[in-house]
Amino acid sequence: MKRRRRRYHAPARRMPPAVKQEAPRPRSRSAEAPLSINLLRVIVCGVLFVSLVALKLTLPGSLAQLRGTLGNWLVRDADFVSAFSAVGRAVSGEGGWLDSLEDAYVAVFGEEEATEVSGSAEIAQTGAQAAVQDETPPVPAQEYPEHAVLGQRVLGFDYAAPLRGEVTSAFGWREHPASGREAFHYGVDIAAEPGAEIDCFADGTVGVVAESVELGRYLTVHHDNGIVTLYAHCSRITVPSGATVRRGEKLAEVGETGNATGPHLHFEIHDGEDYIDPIYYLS
Amino acid sequence: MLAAALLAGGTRATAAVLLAAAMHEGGHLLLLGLLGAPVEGIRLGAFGAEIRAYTERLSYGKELLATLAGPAANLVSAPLIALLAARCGWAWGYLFAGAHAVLGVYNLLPIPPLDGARALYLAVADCCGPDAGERAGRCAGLACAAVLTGFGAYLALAWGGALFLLAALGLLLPQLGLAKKRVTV
Repeated sequence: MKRRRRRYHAPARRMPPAVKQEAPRPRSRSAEAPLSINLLRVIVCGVLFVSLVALKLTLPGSLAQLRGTLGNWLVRDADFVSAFSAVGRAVSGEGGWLDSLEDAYVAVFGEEEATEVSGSAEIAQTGAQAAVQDETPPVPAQEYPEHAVLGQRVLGFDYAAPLRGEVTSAFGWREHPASGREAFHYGVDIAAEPGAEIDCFADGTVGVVAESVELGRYLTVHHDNGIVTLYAHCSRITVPSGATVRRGEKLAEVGETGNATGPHLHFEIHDGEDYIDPIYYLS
Repeated sequence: MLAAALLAGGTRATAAVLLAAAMHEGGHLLLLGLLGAPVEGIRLGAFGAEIRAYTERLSYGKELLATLAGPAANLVSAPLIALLAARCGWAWGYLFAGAHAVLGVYNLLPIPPLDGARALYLAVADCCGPDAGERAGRCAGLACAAVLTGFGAYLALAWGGALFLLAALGLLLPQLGLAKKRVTV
């Protein structure tokens, strides 16, 4: 907060004269910026705005790539909506302060996870929790990063595909459409018209409903047996966090929010720390 | 700063922070009005809003109250909004409550031009004179900004995002006099 003085006042009005030495408060040395500086600021802002609009219209893919790169450079996958919400929950007294602040920390900085790992990798197995059925042509185990599961697992409940459409990007290694680097894709991308209905994969409870630079508007649903599904890049989410949802119930609508180059659903299936290839469950 | 907030946090987080900022400035304006200090206006700059007011008739203590009214508005609103969210099942209420809490705490940092620095100057000046107040403000601001910059650099290396480092540098550079420095009363 800035202050401006009109004239000097004797500080004896402000302090007990018997105790304090009289010392004038420093005059303000700030000044309004000259008109030329303000005009220059307006011109710079105007040029930036026009340039970005022109770039958006002529090279939308490049701008999306630039936005993705900038966002990744600035904040990685930080989810400030979840972080602020966690702080809000701490303030409300819901749960413990430490738990809420830990949630905020995880929302911003993420948990330790294996992402793009070149070279050797492990096939994560959960032991007695699920039976692994290998129904695909064998893929060398060392090509998959840790926690990315090779093959199909028995989920233990009924399910249905969240969206009908063409799978434009499969689970596995790919060239990231925004950054151009090789990265492991932990879900599938299903292309559809903007506004197409995204349905719930199986009965469960809505977990996080948030927005991030990378995922755009997204939500998670917690199902039985520790299975969690994620639906990202939505234009609109129609269920609140904590809601009980049924298989086939509408959750959201297809969009291209976040780091997306076109309207599609990014769909992931998590089994604890493991990422399961959703392709087995979309038929 | 608005563009950076939209890029970093998305529309909802940005809207929450903007509303918290409006409440913050409202707190300042309310106290200034109650204390009889005329407000010349509010200037929106690249890094936030500035209230220009005539405070020469206020004692150090009263101006301290007006300075702390902004963060206090946020820190009082945060639990109220959070309680409302808990009782009414309003999920987005936690987002707004968290934004208020974060903004309130952030503005208490003793780094110019934040309210914490102004409050420190006023508190020290009230007991030890304005020169001592300015020295205390300068030292606390430089030390705090340096610590935050170091932490931001650590995060940039460990986490990979440059947001916190850039924000800390934005607070540190004016302390070093490398950016245009304004000295105001």
